[in-house]
Amino acid sequence: MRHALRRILWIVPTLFVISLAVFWLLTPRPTPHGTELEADHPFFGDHSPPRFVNTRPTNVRDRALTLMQRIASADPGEELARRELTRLGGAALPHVLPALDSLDPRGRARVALALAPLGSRMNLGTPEELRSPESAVLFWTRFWQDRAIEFRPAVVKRVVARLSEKSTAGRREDVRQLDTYALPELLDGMSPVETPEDVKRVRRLAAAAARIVERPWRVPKDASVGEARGVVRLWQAWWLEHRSDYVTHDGAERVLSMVSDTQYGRWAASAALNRLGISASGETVLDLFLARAPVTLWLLVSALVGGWLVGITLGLVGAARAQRVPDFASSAVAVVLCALPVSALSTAAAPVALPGLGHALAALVMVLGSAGLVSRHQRTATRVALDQEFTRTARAFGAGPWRLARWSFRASSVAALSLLGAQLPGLVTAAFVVEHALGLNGLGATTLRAIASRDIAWLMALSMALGTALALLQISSDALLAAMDPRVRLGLLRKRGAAE
Amino acid sequence: MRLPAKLALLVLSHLVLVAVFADLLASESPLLVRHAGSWWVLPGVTAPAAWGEVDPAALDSTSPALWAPVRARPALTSGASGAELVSLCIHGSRSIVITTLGVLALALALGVPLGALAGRGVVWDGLLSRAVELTGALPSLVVVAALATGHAELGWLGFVIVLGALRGVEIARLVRGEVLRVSGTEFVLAARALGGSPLRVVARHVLPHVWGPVIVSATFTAAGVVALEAALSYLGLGLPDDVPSWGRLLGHAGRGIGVGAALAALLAILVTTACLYVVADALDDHLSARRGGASRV
Repeated sequence: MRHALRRILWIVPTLFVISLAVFWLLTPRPTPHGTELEADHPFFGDHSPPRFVNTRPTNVRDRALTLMQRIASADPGEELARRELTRLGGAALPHVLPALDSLDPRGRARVALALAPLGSRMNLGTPEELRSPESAVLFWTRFWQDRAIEFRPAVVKRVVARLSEKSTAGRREDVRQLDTYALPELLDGMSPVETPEDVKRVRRLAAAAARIVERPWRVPKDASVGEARGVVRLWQAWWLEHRSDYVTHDGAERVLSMVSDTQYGRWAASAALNRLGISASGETVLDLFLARAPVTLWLLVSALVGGWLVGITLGLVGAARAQRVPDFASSAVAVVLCALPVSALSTAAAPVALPGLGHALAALVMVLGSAGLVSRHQRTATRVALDQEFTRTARAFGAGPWRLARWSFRASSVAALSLLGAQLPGLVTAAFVVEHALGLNGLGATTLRAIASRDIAWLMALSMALGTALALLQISSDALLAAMDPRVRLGLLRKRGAAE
Repeated sequence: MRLPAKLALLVLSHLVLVAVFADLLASESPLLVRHAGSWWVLPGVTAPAAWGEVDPAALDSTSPALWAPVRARPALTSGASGAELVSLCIHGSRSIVITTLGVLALALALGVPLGALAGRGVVWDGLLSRAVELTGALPSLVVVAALATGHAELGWLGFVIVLGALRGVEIARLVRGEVLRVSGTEFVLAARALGGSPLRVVARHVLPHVWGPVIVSATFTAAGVVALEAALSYLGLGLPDDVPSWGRLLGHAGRGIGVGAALAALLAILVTTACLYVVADALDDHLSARRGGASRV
């Protein structure tokens, strides 16, 4: 019992390693996409971060300053840098504007002009003011003198809190003038969504955020709680992806972001936040999983139960009548069942499958697929048991082969039990094949679709779920084995004694 | 060895022959032809230059020739003729033999040293049991699916590497157990007492006793690989599209293409796997009888 508990605890690190391994397999080496210029610089565009460890986590300060240098020095990638700076928006201002003085006058003018689209998004100044070099520098310098005090966390918190209480034109304007600097608070304020009051709050915040980053995710006027939650989920997924563009990491958070600002870190955060992540079809993975699992589970259970019944019977027949016609027949049947590809069986069964009969037929195919292996093991184990002294004694007293097979059943069924854990991975594959052939909508079909659409969240969840299930089954089969066979139990005790 | 096992070995060796000579069996040139007064054996191979100048069309009517039933490796299309599909089946045998041998080679190369080291306590034993738990909890299907999603370009090689690594861990577990068993015997003690280094003791005295079960297990592994390849290619996750495979032929039968070829592929899979099982059983019987253990029969 203690042994089983220890192994159950070991599942957790094993799962972690599985998730790392599968993720490593799933994600190709991050390739920067876009133009050549984007490719050679990590601060540009939709660059995907490293997979596991980010040695150079980016944040808004580094990004903003690099972009500023690029614009000031009239680099060939200037146009791109302008767009990028506009995207970073208000969050970049506390870093760019104080540094303006350090540039030479020409560079200063270029940067000030590059901020023009941002100025109009924040509803500041007049177009003329922002578009001419001299007045733009003057405008932004003065802006920072006046407003620097507003670009502080406490102020943002208050402004966003006021907006979430009630949406007036003035309050909307306050948030608008902070631009992306207000995003962390806006996103923070969106959850939780439970009451109709929450829906109203989310509606105001989502509208403000949508205006700032130009995304279509708003909450419609008479939205239900569920709809609002869906919108919030979209925002949170987006924020996970882009957070590092808008916030600075300091101290411990900077170290943490070496791990969290990676592809794996983003997946883990999304899985924790959204019920195992969002699949390609937009549903959360957990909901999809729960909807699809019963079909596959039915196939697996029927394969185990039916396969055992058929297999053990076949094996017993073979062992009881060893080296005679029934034995040869049952052995041959077992080998053929082992060798027969499930895909062929289910393809052959497909034309016969009447609507409604599909599940039963699939189960039948699964039973046939699993019976062969069980029967072979059962036969061997029974033969071994029949070789032992107690059966020999019984035979000497005149017990028939059937009675002997029955008596030795307890000893021989242990073998089939130890097969349980080893058999399941193959059965899962078989179940996927059967689903595919017979058009059942289970985990297999979803997985094939996920592979086609590169749905990482689904495949990760699937491997974790299967990993847990298989590990638990392995442990329970070992525990059953120990319960049925005192020798195994003693072996465990001895092993533990040796270890201590 | 009993008759069924001998027959099964015969069938398997023929399968390997078919795989080796797939290009001849399914090629555009005849197997045997009488042309210009002399007999040509496999002209496409023995005299490709001279054969290239001969017009096969003129040949048919005038001289006796033995033609292979089918053409060179065609693509699997919906309009493929029966002959083309049979040729795919023949070439499929080559893919399956290469895949199986590759997986086995990798699994043994990984598993035997690892298991031996773990059995002798050189590698941390817990590491192996964790690895076993890991691969046990990760069906090959999932790993292959993940690989297909992330690294489509790896294809055949990736398939072999994944299966080889997963089976290698299983072989390692087996080898570890056997090494532990053999290590307790007197002759190993004697070898150690005579001053044999651990490596020498393992290589000269322990491993020769381990080979038997490993070979049996490898044979079962081969059967498993054939079945797994069939299942995965059926789902479109196995070998890449341009490699002919029995599993894919089966898959196409489901969509009504080439039912005859699918039957041939099914027969091929069935016979190959069944023969491997029979051979493995016979080997097991033979080896355990030699060891003095309980026989399966």
